[in-house]
Amino acid sequence: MIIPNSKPNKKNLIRSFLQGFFFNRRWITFVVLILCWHFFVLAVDIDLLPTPGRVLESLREIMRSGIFFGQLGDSMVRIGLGFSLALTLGIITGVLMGSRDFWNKFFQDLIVLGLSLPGLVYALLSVMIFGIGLTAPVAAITAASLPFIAVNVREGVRSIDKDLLDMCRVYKIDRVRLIRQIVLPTLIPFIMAASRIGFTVAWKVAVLTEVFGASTGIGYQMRYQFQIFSVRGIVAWALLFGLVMLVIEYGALIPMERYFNRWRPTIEKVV
Amino acid sequence: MTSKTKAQIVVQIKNLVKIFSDEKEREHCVLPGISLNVFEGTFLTIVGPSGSGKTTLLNIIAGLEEKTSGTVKIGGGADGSQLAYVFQSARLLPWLTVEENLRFVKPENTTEESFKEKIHHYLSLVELNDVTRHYPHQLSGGMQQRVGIARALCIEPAVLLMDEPFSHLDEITAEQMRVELLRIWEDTKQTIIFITHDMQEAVTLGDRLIMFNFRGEIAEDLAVDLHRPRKFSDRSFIEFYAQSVERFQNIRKKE
Amino acid sequence: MRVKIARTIANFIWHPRWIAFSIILAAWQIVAVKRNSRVIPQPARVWNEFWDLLSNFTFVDDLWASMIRIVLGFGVAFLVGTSVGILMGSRRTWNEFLHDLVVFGLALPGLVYALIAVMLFGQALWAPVLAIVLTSYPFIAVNVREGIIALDKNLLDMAKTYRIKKRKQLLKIIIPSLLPFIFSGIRLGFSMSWKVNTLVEVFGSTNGVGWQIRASFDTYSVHGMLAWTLIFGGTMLLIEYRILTPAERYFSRWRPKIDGII
Ligand SMILES: Nc1ncnc2c1ncn2[C@@H]1O[C@H](COP(=O)(O)OP(=O)(O)OP(=O)(O)O)[C@@H](O)[C@H]1O
Ligand SMILES: [Mg+2]
Repeated sequence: MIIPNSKPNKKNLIRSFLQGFFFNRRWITFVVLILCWHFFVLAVDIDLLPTPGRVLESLREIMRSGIFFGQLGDSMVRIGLGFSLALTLGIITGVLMGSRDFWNKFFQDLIVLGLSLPGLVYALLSVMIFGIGLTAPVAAITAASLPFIAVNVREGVRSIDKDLLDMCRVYKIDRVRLIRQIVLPTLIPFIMAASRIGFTVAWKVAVLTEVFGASTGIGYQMRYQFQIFSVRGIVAWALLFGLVMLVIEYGALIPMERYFNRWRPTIEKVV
Repeated sequence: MTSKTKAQIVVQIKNLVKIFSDEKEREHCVLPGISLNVFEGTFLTIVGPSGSGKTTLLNIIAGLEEKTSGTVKIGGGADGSQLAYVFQSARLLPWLTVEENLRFVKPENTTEESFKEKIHHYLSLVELNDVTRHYPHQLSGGMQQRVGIARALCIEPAVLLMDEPFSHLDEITAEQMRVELLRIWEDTKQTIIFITHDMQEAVTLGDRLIMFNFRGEIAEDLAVDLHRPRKFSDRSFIEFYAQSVERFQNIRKKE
Repeated sequence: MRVKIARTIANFIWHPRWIAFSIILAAWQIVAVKRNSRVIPQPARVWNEFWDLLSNFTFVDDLWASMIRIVLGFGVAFLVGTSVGILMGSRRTWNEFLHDLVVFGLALPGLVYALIAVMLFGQALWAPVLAIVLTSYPFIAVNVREGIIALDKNLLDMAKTYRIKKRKQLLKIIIPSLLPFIFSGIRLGFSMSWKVNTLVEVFGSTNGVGWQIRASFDTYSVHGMLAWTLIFGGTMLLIEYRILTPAERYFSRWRPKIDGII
């Protein structure tokens, strides 16, 4: 629970965050899990299965060779472009769908189709059509994450409180103020939720596209590790990438969401 | 009531008809053509059975609902007359603080400065000076409703419309709110149209009491000539109250 | 009555979706003709391919192979997911212990599981089963946990005061209130299952729909891929929207509204 009018003290915030981060039962869980993994691998004795130690070795190799940030950068450019495009188009579509019955019916079937097509199909199709280059991943990402964003924004538009709009009519509130004070505050949480879902979809499709049609990027590295039959390589790349996504999630998306939701009684726990 | 100068008509309704038609194009007449004049400074209370069209009437006056036919004139007839509406729930913007919620309804021709003064004046009138920076969810239901009332008052409307504003509250809070509303009304001499289900509330508050029947017609139009402050223990009050209840029951029997 | 039917038909015909479909088809046709490249087939070509597959029943073998994998994998995932969910919902320590694991499982892309499973088990049936279990059990577990947490303790107390037997409590209170959650888990988990199964087949299999899609990709046959997607996607969507969603709605009919738009 956040009490908005007690001004949050920055220092306290950071301290409590660090405390929560380090003195946490999670770490016990984490250690137990790593140990389980270690002994499990020793017990089943399959060559391919790496112990945590060997994965760590791979991690170190990747970091030492210095290719990580270059590859990550390539992936991020693709994700960034595709996702921004999807966000823009998705918001427009969602607003249209939420406010006009005609557009809702117009897009509805396409959206359902788009929601249910697997990312693989987007990835393969765009690689075949656009070949290797920036267009293929951007097209795949946009197409795959747009429906998720549109659906969420539509729900947002629909949830604008009609009672508040009536109230505005009585008090003769002008359009600008109406949009700034009623429409946007209602929409922003939905847009945030849409961004989070859309972003997850975006990077999953980006990786897939890179697996099939790219010569750089995280996905390409995974495919390479697959071809040389290195499970530990795949795990290492997946871990690194997952870490970056966590940093983005906790460092940017969740704080933003919290900021926009500060007037709410309680912030829903992020699962 | 003080009527030294001849009282002006603030709300003038003539032959107002409202017909709703649903998707299957069946028509449903809610207001069959009512006429009503409300004078300046009057505290008008309206009671009526549920579904008789009370809210619809207020919505039409407020311009939220289109009328089917008839005329509705507010103020001197100029269309720009300000109205305020206190709804059954407070309808505050949850993402704005109390003060910001009031600032939100600032009419265009008012300056920030003067409006700020009004905000503070009316917030102190409803005794909410201490919570100006709170968000609505940090207030109790009664406090939220008081914010709604302050918001309505601070645009100094020609007419204040209230639709069962206290029916969500517990009886003790509601009683306090009634007392406060009367105090404010005595201060401001605002024209008020107040809808309620509760005959006692209607008799306690109003100068004039209108009863609707099921068909949405005005069945009774009574002047409430009781001195204020009214107490339930007063003989005259009890008599008037009992009479009104009886009339209301008669209306219902006739259906 | 007749008016009603006429109106329904009219509503169907004058539905804006047809405008959307025609625009897309027209644009596709124009691009295909203009570009005249092998990789962008005309809509009619895709339709023919689809119709060939359908009418010759050539699709049955591959679809069957995929279905077996999906059903098997999803069955195991369901058992694992429900058990984990029950553990998490009823024991605090287990919840803390498993929470991060489940979140991690939700976050990792199916691709990673698919690749690892293929490397470990090759073409064996274990590969898709493992990948499916790993991708879809978290969805079921999370939902079951939510269901258990949402169990109405007041109802259980009420049952206690009326001395209702445990068995009856289970059948009449616990299971009915869990079913909506279980079904939304099943629906989500199933849609993950068939997607990851396709991935596994793409990387390590010599039959199944995924393998067909892979073959189309290798031969640059967009029309083949679209036709297979149409058949397989159609089947899966039919299962999701005609069986699982109605089932979920049926078991949630007492709830005010199905929430969540995942
Ligand atoms: N938008 C609408 N469309 C169709 N019918 C409506 C609509 N709004 C109200 N009605 C109908 O108009 C009638 C009067 O409604 P109204 O809300 O004015 O009643 P009311 O007197 O305020 O009742 P209550 O005391 O319960 O608030 C009801 O029968 C209702 O069904
Ligand atoms: Mg009403």
